[in-house]
Amino acid sequence: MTIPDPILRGFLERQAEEGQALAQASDILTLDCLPTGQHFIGHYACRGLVRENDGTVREADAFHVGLYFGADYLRTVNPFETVTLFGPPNTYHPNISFGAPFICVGHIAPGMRLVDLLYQIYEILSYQRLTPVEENALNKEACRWARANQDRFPIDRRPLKRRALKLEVQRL
Amino acid sequence: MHGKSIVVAGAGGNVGSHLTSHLARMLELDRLTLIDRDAYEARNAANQDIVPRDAGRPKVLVQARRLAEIRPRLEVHAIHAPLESLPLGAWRADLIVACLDSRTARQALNERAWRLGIPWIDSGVLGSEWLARVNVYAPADGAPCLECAWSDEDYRQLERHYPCGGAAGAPAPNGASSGLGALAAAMLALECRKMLAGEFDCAAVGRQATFNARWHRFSVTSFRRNPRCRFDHATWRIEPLPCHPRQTRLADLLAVAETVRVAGQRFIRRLVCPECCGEKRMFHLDGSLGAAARRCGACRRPMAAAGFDIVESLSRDLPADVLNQTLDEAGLRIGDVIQAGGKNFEIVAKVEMENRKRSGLTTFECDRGR
Repeated sequence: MTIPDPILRGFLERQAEEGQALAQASDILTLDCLPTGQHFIGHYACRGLVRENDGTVREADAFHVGLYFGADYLRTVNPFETVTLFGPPNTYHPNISFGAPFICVGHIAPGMRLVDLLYQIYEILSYQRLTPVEENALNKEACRWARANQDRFPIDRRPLKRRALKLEVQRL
Repeated sequence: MHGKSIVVAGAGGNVGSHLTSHLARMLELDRLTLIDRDAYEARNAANQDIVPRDAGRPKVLVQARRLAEIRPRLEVHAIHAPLESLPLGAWRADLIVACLDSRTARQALNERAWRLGIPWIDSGVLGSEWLARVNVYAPADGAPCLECAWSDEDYRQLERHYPCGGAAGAPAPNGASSGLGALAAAMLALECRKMLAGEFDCAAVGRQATFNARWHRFSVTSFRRNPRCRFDHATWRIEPLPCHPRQTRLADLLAVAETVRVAGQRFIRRLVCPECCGEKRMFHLDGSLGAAARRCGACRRPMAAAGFDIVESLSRDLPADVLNQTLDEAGLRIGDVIQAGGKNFEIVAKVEMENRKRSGLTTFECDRGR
């Protein structure tokens, strides 16, 4: 990690630790922390939607998203630059450009934690959250489609973090 | 007292348009740089110091033409560009003045002034409350900066464009009248005069002077350095780097240090169109990439860079074709400040350098390693 600012370096190290802890407690997420310290790749084994060339919308079960924290991340942030879709390129969602690597997760405040972003991305991929207004959507066609198919959502209902199982055994 | 210079950011707006004529009449001022990214709209005539025929023209050009009539011998530079895109050296002056309506732009300006160690004055108006204010910041050990007074909520409110978030983060018009803008401009001009004269004890250094024009109340608030401020408050020692941007290659910079950064800037490797997915590959400084270059060749819409297509620092492991680019091809300009080996160097033209050498300034030759 070659980050000159010690405050940012400390922040990024904490993000990596928290992100790995979340991934270990999740059946859905695995996280790669790249050597730069500023780049992460989240692999989501969750159900989401893709659109085929023939127009068919079908479920897919693996999505890959990059996260980048710029040198000024604690002071200023550009949401388009922070979150990048790596694949599949035909991911179908109102908040994701079709064929382009952009995801709009909404407002990202400077210094927002990695785990919060990982949760927001999961909510989008699994259709727990979407932009309902066509004018604001990155994929307007997906927005129209989503309005007509609201009964299918969310596509994946599992929580990102595994919940502890509480079993009470009764002796008969 | 002559030979002073001021840079005005947001020179054509509700405050700036009223300010420039005051500055032109300050005889201690020899050079004035006006920066504004916008052009006038017809509705601006209601509260800005312009005439209806100025609509459609870049604000800085309108103001520069006016200043030439008021004081023909004043040296005026008009820069029609976003302030974030300018090289750090473009801000060199005795004083920087902000007449901005954007929190993000103020934050960028605060950083630039601090890096160069130049005092700057912020101004603002709040139309609904009839408030006009000025804040003076003077970079020094222990002195407060703009961000020292910011809370987490202030950072959350930084304007950004969120395509899926409904209303974009652009600052909303605050409905300030022409009179209120002129009031802030007058307060600003008076602080400029004090700062240029070195009367720091009576200027509002580290303070905010606010006038409530509705109830004729005047208040002064003092600020302190916030130890938890997110800005590092570093003022840089910057040495000149004489070179020919059309001949010096990026590899030449890396002969001096293993990694090289450009202050306040990043490089873009690829732009992608969010609409039609068209892409452009390049290796270019973000700030000097013009609007035309950012437009999609196919659908003409603005393109954007994804985070993984941004390069913050140059290093020797970049591809050879990138390293062989000249500074000019990579978008570096005269005035850009390069950080290499723990030092800061400002790119200056070799011709200008000869003059500096004669004046006894230390120099650093970037083509030393060739």
